[in-house]
Amino acid sequence: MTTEDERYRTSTQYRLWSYTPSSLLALRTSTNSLAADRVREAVRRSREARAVSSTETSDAERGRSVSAAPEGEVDCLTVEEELKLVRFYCRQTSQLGDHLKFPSDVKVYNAPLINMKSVLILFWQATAIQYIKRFYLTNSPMTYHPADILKTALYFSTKTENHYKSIVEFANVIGKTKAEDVLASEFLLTQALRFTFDVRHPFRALDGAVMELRALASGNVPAIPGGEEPVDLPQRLDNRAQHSYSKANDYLKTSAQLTDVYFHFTPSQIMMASLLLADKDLAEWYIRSKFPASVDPSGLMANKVMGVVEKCAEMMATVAPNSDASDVERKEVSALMKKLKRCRNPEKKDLTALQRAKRAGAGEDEKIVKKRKLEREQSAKEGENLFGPALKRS
Amino acid sequence: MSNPPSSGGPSSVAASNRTVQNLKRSVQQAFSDRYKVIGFISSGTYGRVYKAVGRHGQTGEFAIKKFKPDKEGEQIQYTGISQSAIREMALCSELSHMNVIRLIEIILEDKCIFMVFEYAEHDLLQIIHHHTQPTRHPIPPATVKSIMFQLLNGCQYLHANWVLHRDLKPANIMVTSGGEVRVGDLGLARLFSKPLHSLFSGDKVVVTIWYRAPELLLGSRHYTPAIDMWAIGCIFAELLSLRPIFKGEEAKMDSKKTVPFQRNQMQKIVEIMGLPTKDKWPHLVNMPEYGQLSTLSASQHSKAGGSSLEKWYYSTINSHSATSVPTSNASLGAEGYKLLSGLLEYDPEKRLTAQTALQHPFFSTGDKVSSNCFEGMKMEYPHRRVSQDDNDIRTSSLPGTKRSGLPDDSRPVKRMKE
Repeated sequence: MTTEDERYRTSTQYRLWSYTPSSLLALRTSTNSLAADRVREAVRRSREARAVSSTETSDAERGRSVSAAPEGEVDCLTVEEELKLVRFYCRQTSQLGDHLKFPSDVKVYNAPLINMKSVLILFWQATAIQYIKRFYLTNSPMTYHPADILKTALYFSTKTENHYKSIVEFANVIGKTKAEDVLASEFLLTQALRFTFDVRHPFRALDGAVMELRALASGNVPAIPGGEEPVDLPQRLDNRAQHSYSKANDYLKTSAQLTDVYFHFTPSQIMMASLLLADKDLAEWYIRSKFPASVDPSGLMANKVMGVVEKCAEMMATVAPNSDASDVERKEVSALMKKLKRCRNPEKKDLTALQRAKRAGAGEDEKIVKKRKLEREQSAKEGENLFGPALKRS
Repeated sequence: MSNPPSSGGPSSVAASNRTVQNLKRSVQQAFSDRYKVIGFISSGTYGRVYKAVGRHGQTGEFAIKKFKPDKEGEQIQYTGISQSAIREMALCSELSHMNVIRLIEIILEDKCIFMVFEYAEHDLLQIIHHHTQPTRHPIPPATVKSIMFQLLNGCQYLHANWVLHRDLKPANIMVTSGGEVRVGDLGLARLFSKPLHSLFSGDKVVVTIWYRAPELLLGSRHYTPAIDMWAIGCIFAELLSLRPIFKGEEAKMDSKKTVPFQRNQMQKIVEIMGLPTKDKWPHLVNMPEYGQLSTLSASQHSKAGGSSLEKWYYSTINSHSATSVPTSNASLGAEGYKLLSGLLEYDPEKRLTAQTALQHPFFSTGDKVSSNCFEGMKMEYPHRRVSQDDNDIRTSSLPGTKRSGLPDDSRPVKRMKE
């Protein structure tokens, strides 16, 4: 029988979306610098085009535009700035998601103690956020604005998380948005996601852990299958398990989504880390109860697991478990949005128009076949940029 | 939560470079640059399936599933990539098992999505059909045994990975020319680790009616891996008798779009299995359609709540022996019956799981199970029909073609005259 761990290692989340901190940084750095180069190129092209057209109009104007070219180098976003922006839009994703009412005609199972409706909403939003985070590993906000990608990701995850909504209704509720705008970057998103849409979340692991802790509190349950019942139960175990559930859940809903823990840790590690942040002694006792002396006489395995969980908790704790951004963050982000306005790739601003042009080109005449071939060659060149350089084991 | 957290620290990308390369290529090169379509296989509401070969020396043949974009509402509104395409892409990317159809790559081009699968020359519908021509002659016992083992093995893998297939039927079970069984068509499959809508929202009805488990017919809103196991029981029976064991007629949805009780289908099951009883199936009384059961009539034999499955089994495996002694299925013996009755168990909680079925003595007694279900066979099954005419709609109803897509799933596959 394969173990849960072995099965997890066959998942795309592990195979394609797990990184060491240094490989993740390297990927983001190269994405950022490639995007910045392309922004500068595109800006240069559009300035040239403007210069040419002004030559055609009048010399006076040309003189003005040439002299009025204090438009030196474009000041591009740094990796850190991009991260802050993306994080902010990930927050927005949840808020927008909350704003979209759950269709009342959808029936869900209601398991005892668990409100499945809210679980569905949680999965839907968390998956959308992870799509956005994955998307921006190989794409820059300077190329594709997070406000656009957010809508597409949130709509796309209605489809992957069985939370289907009408596209028209979806666009209406968002406001100032047409169905076309939501769908414009769908192919772009699926490509960036490398067609892997299954995101493994830590939420249900937490449900299970808390259920198990409460069962342990009631006694008569072994800590590991076939093992012995733990003797040194922490005080008020049942009470503490219940209490830490909501605290841990807050971490999973916000901090786990907004930090990079999904890229570095397994869902069960993330769950344990949330429990650790909620009640450190409880979590440590729980973890150690899984490694009795008969299994782990030297305690090395337990220590190793504790070490990993602590590392994960440390990373998760860098973002407070609040759904709203702090005032400091807000201020910072609004400055970054202004900066982004000045360094956006002018050729990728209107995704809806780009997509429309592409779809209009789906005819069969020769011209279009040629055009597509050109596009293909172009995208062959861009392919490297889109996915970043080949990933390396490190 | 019984698994300890993985002991490794932050993990490096273990993605094989090959996969990344493939995916990268699929963006760079459009479909027609990479594949040459050599014929049309079938069509459904999702789109079409083609047979193709690689242009760049890729080995083997491929089945290309081309999805149409989804439409919504009365005015034709493009709603993006269809949910079933997304679901199938998501699942197939996670799965890798010798008895599950293998996804090679996905290609996007203009508005179209191409899913490239390995090609399988046969499927169980086609194989069963072949054994009815020109006269009925049984599928050899070793083949039946190998098919069942491989089918259960694929299903065990799916269930262990929290995937419910939900539409197992002969047309969806592929067999390669090397005799390897591949569970196919995951367009309806669902991850059951994720929160689920009840059966009555989302996809209205699941599983082609002849293979639909009694708990679904009785209105259960919980669906579990056991519904796949019932379908496998039905497939086992069909491999033996060459016709669907419970061939009911589907009651159509009424104008109010309420899901009707499938009386005729339930009747067919009761005729062989007898009426279910609450002694043997404690949760029976909680089924929404429990009241309907009293209106069904059990056959003379099974009036007393008894099942005539055993009689059905022995008369089926022995029926051919008079005419064609060497290929009789009589050798499948008593263990075959036990496996069949374990799969066609009314109570979903008592029904065999894929895991327990694999350990059934049926597979460990008698001839050794071969991983090639055609081993020792002298004949070869006809190849899948591939049409050159793109617009030939008739091909979709020929035996051996696949049908799927939500609106069709409530209807059984049309067959050639039997």
